[in-house]
Parts: sequence; structure tokens; C-alpha cells
Amino acid sequence: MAQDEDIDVDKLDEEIKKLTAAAETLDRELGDMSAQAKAVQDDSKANAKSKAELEKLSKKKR
Amino acid sequence: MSLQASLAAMWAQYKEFQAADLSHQHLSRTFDESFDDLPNAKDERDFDKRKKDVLKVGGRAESECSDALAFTDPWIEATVRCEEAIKLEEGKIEKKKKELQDQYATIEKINQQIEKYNNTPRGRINPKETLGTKGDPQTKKILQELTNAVATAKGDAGYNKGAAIASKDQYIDHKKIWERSISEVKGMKFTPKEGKKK
Repeated sequence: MAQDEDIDVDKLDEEIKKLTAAAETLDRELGDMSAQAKAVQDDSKANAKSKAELEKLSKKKR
Repeated sequence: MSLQASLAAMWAQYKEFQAADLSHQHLSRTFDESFDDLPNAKDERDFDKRKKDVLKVGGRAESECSDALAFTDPWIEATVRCEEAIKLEEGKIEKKKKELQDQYATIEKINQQIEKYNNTPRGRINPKETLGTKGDPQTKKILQELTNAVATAKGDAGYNKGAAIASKDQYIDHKKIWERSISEVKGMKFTPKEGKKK
């Protein structure tokens, strides 16, 4: 069995607090990035017709 | 500029070009039809009237041609700004991946310490929710969504850049053709048809 003297509980608690805050920040940032990813995909779908036109345009020989 | 904003700006530039392009195409067809019909003029007066009309359409077409050409550079620049925003977004994704890896490494380390401490006769520490891997599949899903969105944006910017560069080249040629065509029409004279002479 491990000796409890090996573990600094206060330090451990501090590390847990720091990690929790960092995880929350990361979650929030990922949430924002997820919203942007969805918006980019939606905009791309909305421009599907234009993309087909562009394909023709770049190949067109006038 | 955010990726979404730069993409919106790029599509807006394309729409500006497209409007001028469509108008140019329409005027170009009208010009061709009236030009081909010039030899059917009944007499010199009719010819002069037709010629005036052809030149009027040609002038408008040349103007639309200049407008379409003027829209190609801002369109190309908008695609370049999109590519820059894409690079930034790719950097952000890589940074987030690294941050997550670091967090998971710290979680593992802390959990090992908690486990070690919980095996001692003293009190127990209950791992906090955030120390588990609860958010992991969701985070991976978000990062995958972001990666897919960036790939879509790359594709869209690529289509636009290719078309914008090709259109610029085409409209530079169109401009030269209009100058020649209009000059040709200006120099045209009425030639009575042989059949009519009799």
C-alpha cells in the first residue's frame, strides 16, 4: 500500500482546479469552432449551384 | 478575418463578377445576331441604322466586358484571403489537438496520483467529472467536423481561384476582341447584294 506522505493533496487539488479551468476554456473554444464549422458547411451547401457554375466557367473555352 | 467571413466575401465577389458576366454574354449574343444580319440591309440608309444599332450594343458589351474584367482581381484577392484564413484555421486545429493531448496526459498523471492516494489509509479523492474521458468522443467529433469544414472551404476557395484566374484571362482576350470587332464594324460600308442590282 502506498504511503500517503508520497502525495501532496493540496498540490493535487490545485492541479485538478487548474486542469478543470483549462478543460472548460477548451470546451468553450471548441464550441465556438464547432459553430463555425457548421456555418462553413451550411454556406458551402447553399453555394452548391454556384460551385457547379464555377466548374463550367474554369473549363469554358470562349 | 474569420474563415466564414472570408468565404462569404469570396462568394460575394463571385456574384458581382457573375452579374457582369451574364450581362456580357447576353449583349455578346445580341451583337453577333445583329452583326450577322448587317448584310441583309435593304439599302444604305437601312445599313447605317443597323450599323448604329450594332455599335450601340457593341459599346455596351465592351463596357460590361470591362466591368467583368475589373471584378476578377478583387475576386482573386478574396480567394487568397480565404486561403490565408484556411491556413490560420488549420493552425488552430493543430493547436487544439496538441492542447487536448497535453490535457489527457495531465489527466492520466493526476488520476494515477488519485488512485495512489486512494490506496492509503487516509481519506479518498473522488475524481472530478472533467478528469474523466467523458468529453473525449464529443471533442474528437468536433475536431473532425472542423477538419471537414476546412477541407470544404479549401475546395470552395480552389474552385473560385481557378475560375477567377481563368475568367481574368478570358476577359483580357474578350477586351481585345471587342476593340477589333467594333473597329471592324466602324469600317464597314454598305455593299448592295448582287441579286438586288438586277
